[in-house]
Amino acid sequence: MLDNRPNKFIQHSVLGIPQLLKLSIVYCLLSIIFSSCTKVIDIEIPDSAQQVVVEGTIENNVPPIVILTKSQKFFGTIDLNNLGNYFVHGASVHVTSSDGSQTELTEFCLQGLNLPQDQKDLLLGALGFSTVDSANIPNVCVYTVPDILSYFVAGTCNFMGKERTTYNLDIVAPPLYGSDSVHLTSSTYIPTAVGMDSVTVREAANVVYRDSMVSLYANVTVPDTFGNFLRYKTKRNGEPYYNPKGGTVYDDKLWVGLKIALPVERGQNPNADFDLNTDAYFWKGDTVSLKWSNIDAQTYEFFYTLENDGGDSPFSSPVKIKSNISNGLGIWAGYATKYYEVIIPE
Amino acid sequence: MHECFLQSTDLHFLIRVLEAVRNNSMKASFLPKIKRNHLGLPRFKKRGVKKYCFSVFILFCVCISNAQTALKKFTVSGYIKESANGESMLAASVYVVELNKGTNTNEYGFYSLTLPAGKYTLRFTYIGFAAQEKIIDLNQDIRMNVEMGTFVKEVQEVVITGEKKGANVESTDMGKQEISVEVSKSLPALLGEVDVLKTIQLLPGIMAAGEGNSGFYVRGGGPDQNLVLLDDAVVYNTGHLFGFFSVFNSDAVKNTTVIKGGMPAEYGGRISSVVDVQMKEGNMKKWSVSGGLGIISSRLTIEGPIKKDKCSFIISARRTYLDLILKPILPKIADGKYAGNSYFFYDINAKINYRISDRDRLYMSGYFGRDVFNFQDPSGVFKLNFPWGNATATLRWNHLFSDKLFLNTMFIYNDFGFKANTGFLDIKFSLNSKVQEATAKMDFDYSPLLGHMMKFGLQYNFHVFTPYTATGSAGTTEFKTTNQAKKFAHESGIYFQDDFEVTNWLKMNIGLRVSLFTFMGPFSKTNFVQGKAADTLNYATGENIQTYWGLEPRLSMRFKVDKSSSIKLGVTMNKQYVHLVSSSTTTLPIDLWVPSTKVVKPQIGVLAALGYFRNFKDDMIETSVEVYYKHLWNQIEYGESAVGNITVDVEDQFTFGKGWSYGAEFFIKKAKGKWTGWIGYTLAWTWRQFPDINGGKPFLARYDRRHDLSIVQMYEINKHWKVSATFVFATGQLTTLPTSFFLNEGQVHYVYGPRNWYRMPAYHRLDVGFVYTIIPKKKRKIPFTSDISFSIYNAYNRMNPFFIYVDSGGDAGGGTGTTTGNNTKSLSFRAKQATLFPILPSLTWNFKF
Repeated sequence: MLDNRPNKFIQHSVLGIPQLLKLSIVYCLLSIIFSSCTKVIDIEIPDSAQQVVVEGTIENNVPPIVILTKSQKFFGTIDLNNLGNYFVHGASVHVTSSDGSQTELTEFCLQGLNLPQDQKDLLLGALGFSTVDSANIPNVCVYTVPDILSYFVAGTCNFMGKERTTYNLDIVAPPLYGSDSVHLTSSTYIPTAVGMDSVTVREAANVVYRDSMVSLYANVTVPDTFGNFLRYKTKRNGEPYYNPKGGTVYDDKLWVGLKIALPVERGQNPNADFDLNTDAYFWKGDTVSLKWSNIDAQTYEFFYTLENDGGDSPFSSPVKIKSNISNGLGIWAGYATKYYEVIIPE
Repeated sequence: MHECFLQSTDLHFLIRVLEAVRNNSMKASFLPKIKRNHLGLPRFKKRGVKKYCFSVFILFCVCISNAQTALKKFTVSGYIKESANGESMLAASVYVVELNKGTNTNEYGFYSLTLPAGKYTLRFTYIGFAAQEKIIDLNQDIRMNVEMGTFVKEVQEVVITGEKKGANVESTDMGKQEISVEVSKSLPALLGEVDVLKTIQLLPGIMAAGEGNSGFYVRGGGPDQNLVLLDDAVVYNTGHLFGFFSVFNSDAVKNTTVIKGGMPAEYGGRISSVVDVQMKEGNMKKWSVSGGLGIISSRLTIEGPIKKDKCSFIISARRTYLDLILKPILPKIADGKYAGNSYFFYDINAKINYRISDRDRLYMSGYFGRDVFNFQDPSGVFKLNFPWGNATATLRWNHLFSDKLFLNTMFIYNDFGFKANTGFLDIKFSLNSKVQEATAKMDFDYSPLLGHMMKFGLQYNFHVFTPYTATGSAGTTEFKTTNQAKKFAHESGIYFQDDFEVTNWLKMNIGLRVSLFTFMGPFSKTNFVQGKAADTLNYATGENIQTYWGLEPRLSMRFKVDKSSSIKLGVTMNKQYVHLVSSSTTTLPIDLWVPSTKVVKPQIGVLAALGYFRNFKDDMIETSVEVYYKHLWNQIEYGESAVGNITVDVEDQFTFGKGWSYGAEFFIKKAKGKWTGWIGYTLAWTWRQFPDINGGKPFLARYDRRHDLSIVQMYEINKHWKVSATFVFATGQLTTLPTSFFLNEGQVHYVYGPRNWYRMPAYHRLDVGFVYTIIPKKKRKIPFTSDISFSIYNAYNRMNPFFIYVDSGGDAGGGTGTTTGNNTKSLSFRAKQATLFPILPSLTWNFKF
């Protein structure tokens, strides 16, 4: 019953408490007090226009990476083996920096890359696509700088993100309908990478597996002027970076000017089994990497609305995800990132 | 019989006034003269043509009072109460047989009739009670208190002849219904919990907020637009258990009055409807204990005289006990997954009333209710303790200045508060919000002469709104919300209304309410732009931040067609200064009430209704057809991207627009006899239009329901058995489902279609109820009666849609997408419909001694 609910309800991003309360009401009402009956119904979807979706990032000391896909009509089956069909090919993508430099991005597709399977898997994971079927790797395509290989080999290339810099994105995509190409624009800002002061490992009290699990806290000094936003991901041992299920973004309205210990939740494979007993905790002996990024307000708004959309139910209403892309969907996100590694003692 | 109240002198007077107005030459000197000669009204100043309408209105009333001095008239007045327990009978009819006219008691059971000297026959009637006739010789003012008993077979009921008046045809009331709690008690109830708010949902024009929900919408108005009163105190949150049960304990309730349109001027502050719930006063004659055991809750009520016929009290309490039953069981099931979860609610109603003298009466009443919800996820990551509830206290003093002038003075305090104490990992959070209101109110009932029922009064409210205030700690750091200041506001209103017969065929109820609202300091707020502090507003204590005021004219007219039918017309304008915006279909305790501010403007509603009322078979059957159009300004919704966020002032997440609704309501009722019941059908449209929602295009509101049918039938088989059945049919609710999706970081996210584009399957349900009354065979010292009430909710087990959600899962080849990790080949998305209540039988045992 309602197998997609727990993920939603555990969105305990602290700032979204009212939302959280609603979702916990849904969960509790439905699972404890009443056992509701469900059945599948057929719904005729009205035709809605397909749109170009941008998933673009630019991070300090990393070249821009832009994935272009098409939104799809809802209900029915998404064939993950044919994800390739969703990608927008042949777009012209330009990134211009407020310091005057600019670059045109080149499209690279996974199938065209001469890489071993495990590296392809890793690359897919880095892009957020969990490994699907080793025989049928989706032909994921990204737009990035032409000298991306130099970045992989030497860690540097001609065009990389810098802190305190604005980046404009300009995309001309091939027509989705008719003969008019689609022109999308966006702008993002890479703020200062504030980072954190230290990480504290604490015993995980009140937990079923308390002997083997711990919780992590990031000690953060929050700047004393409003307008700081945070996004983090975590990585355990050899896994890719994953998003914590309870939400990845925080603003500073409650904490401006304070020193706080912010609980760090473990990022998890979105497609893996969800276990409340291990949720948010790390295991003793883990090597944990943290990708700790400062972001701008629009990027925060995008992820905050995206992570808090509880769907339409008697207890919530649908949330329109706030996008910073004009004439399209998605996000062009600037990250001011600092990386941390913690080895949790046995 | 044309007993016109305007004598020739008054007529001349009125003509002078009207001429003065028509010539637009009303002199300032003209009015003070009136003041001296008549009611002692405040001195008028010439303020321009616009004010003349109001002046004429006041003058008109002055004329009426002027008229009475011309003839030798006397007043018969008094209280009508139930003989069994001394409870006041409101809206009982007092009828002067010779004059073919009459009046009704007010909500304290008081009536007053001023008639020319003479002999009269007064007839006192009330449904379910034996009518009484008294012959009076009116040559002086008479005080006549009447006690009425229930109809008993041995007592021959007064034979009522053809001229008897059907109140629904005769009165100017439109869209008004009195629901006795006995009706609610004889209907089948969800899980055996008798609920007056669910009974009113069975009336045409009133729609349930959702399956099993006690929330309701009236003629296309929002849930916050209903003025719900408990002994004159506003009840801000009417639901227990997230709205599944109402806060009104049926054992403590005497009567419920619903006004779904044509609101008289005495009511203000909400734009859709009034639900006025009156608590019982307590038995003045003898001690009595009643109660009941149900599957959800148990109830106990004690009432009795402190001093017989002088002072009585009632105290009524109920509590749910599912939590107590489940407490030992929960840790043992599902690996203790649900241990630590509990839920209960309780409420207490209490009232004392004291007849100080024949002229003075004092009432003190109060309500206190709480819901408490505890949740803990099994990992201990997340804990929640979540109490909420209302409290009200009302002090009322009834005073009779004269046989014609009745004053009710009230002091009321009411609040609704909600708290959430949560913790996850090392973050501890305490969140609370509250709305508090203190009210002082004076209502005068004035019956200067037969055929006039005047009411005037004033009201003052002081509001305090505490938004989400969070305090807590993350590790060792303490924090609290700083941008969420309390909001203070003054609201006041003054009104005048007169219900009077112009001629035999025309009766009018005209009224005017003037309302004033001030949002005042102390208040401070930081406005953010892109997360950065843009500016900070600071207001000192008592500083006026924003003032709104408005005229709220109310008019209803009854045109009599013949003895058993009439046409009624009503136009009313209302303003609403406090608002509740909910992002869900049900009003949840976490939804906040907010005042009008610089950002939030008062809601305005105008309702026009036209109705045809007709009674058949000597008033045995009452029927009516009403059509209405309602226009709403300054409607409030959450913005399309709003996500509950305690660090943002909730009003900054609002967006504003307008609404309109229209429809037709059909109603047939059989109020008397062994077989009673009604059929109500509504055909309606409800629209909203917001510049920032749905691309500015109009959309049907979530609670737009094209067809809404209720059939309610009760039959008394014999003195032991009563059966009842209700059937409801409603067009499906609207909902906003995703129409497409996009990928981000490998995950699927929804893009929603136009607002409320999908209509769920229709809702229909049959409930059946049986009540078996056990009557002791032998006369005992203490008469102990009890009944067993058996209800079947959703008798034919219709799987009604509660909501529709998107279920994601893999196809047969790949297992389920959300659970099996890394060999999923495809994800499929299906719409699933969740049903809340299948067939649900319940049993309740009630007793009384």
